[in-house]
Amino acid sequence: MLWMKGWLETRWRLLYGLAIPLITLLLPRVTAGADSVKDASTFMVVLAFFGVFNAAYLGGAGIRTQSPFAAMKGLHGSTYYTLSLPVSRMRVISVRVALGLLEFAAVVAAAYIGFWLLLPAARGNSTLFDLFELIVTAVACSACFYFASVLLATFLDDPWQPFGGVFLAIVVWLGASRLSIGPRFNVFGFAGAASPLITHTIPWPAIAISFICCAVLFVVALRIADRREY
Amino acid sequence: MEQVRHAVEIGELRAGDQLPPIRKIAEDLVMNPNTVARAYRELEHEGVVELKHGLGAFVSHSVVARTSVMRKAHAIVQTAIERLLSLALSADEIRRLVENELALLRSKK
Amino acid sequence: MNDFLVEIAGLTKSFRGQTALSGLDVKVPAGSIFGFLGRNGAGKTTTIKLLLGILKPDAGRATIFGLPVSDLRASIEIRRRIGFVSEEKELYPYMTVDQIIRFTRPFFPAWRDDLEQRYLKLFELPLKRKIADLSKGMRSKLMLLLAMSHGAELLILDEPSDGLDPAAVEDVLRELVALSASEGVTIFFSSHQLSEVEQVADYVSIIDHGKAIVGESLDDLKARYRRLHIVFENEPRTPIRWAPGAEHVRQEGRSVSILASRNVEELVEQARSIPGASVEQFPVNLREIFLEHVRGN
Repeated sequence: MLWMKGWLETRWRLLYGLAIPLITLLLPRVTAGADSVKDASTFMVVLAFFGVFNAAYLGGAGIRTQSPFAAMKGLHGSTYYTLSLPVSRMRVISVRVALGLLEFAAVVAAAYIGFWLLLPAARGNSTLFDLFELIVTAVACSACFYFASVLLATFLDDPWQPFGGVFLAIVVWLGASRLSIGPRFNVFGFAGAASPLITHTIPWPAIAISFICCAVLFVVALRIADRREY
Repeated sequence: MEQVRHAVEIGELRAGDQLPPIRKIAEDLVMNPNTVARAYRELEHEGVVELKHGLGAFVSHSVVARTSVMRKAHAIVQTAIERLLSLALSADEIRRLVENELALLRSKK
Repeated sequence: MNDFLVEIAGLTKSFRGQTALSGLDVKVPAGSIFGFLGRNGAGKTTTIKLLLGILKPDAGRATIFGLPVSDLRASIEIRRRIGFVSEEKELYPYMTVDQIIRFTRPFFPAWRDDLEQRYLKLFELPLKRKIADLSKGMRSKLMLLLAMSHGAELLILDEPSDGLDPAAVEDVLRELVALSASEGVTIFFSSHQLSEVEQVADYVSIIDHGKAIVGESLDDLKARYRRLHIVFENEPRTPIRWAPGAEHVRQEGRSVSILASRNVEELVEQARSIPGASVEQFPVNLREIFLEHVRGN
């Protein structure tokens, strides 16, 4: 039943996540000139940031009740209802994290599939399998921002937690380019030189780095949630 | 409790009559069930009712004897009150005097 | 089985240096309807949150069903066997009445469909309405419905009648009494409505500044308290040193009013020994006892 609660809290977020990248893809100004893979590179960065934004937005998987749409009264007090249920805080968070992660993957996949269908010129010589690899890479590399958001949600409230997630992503983005980290080791590499559409291979080192971050962030989030007082 | 005692005294409840179950009284009067149960036990202690396990509370047969005692008591109280009234005491004053004496006896017990 | 369903001993909790509880002791007998009283900020809600594992104690110990409340695993087992109404009376605003019932039911293996239906009818709750659109009274009723349908052995209710109209309060109290009488459910509730506590409770605890200052059966409490009213023929020239038990003495000219917490007999004797004094004594209600305690400290 925690799945039902999570679904009711996130379904509008999911809809936004699906709609905004697709609407953007339909704007002629954005897509103008995206006639080759290289020309589409700016667009790939935009899509990558859509992914990060969704990760931050869908990853607010704390103990606190979330607002599905606009702010609603009674969110704060209903947290005590969640805490009074005979389930561990770990389960409350795990179910919500799993659901949000699935929704996040769906949003990222939809954005890249939309890109593939609507901008055939930008495909270049890449295959459908390259697209699949790109989706897997994008989800895996952005997942660390999803879990960063999960961690932030254990102590930050709703409007601040997505901002925090996006801010963190920008810091990582700038930091990685300042330090000139190789694209295969950069969690944003898939939006540039390490894109499977160009390299026809998955950048495993970047994914490994992302997964290590995911695990650490999730464990810390669970510990905080278990110890926290509400 | 007072209601039951009074009902027995004036003969509204007769020997062998069954009293409502504790549960029903508690719900009807919105009272604590343990308080009702204690009242029943006190009535049993006074011999007004008999508690039959699993069956409920019944007005005690010995209560008939008690009714005659009550009649005698009634006569005593009546004469006492008449004499007090002749001393120009008000009903309120008499009530307070009686209650006070009773309370004192109780606190000495 | 233990005689006490809830046992709190020496419970201590502070928030950022602010003491909320300092060595609280409370014992809730199995099968009782237990009134938990105190002024705002006395520590009632903190105690209840500690019992549910929402907060963690700094020191001391609390058990429910013999299980320690601060153990994570035991706390889940405890929560499976209790029903809870929070002070806020807030539920997920985006769910409908029907959804929150369907959401809650699977968590509680002993869920009572019969009671759920009964309360739905009694409280006249609209199934399809969103919780965000319910009045505070309706939300309170919905929370009570959920808690009372758990099939729980213990209900922990933080000001359950808050926000209800007098008729609804009577309905709720009647249903609570029915749960206590026919199912043997123990009820632990906090309230500011002393008359309703006096009506349905058989045990009370009064807490003040995070400590229990009274904790006993309501009958015993009311039996040991008396108000004495003494009138002297002449105003006493020196103040009288009353025997222990005289909690609150107010003297106006020739008359003295004493609230006695114990030792009534000795106080009466003392008053009678003064020539020309007449003594009367009156029973005291819970309200007077409560006020005496929380003001005295």
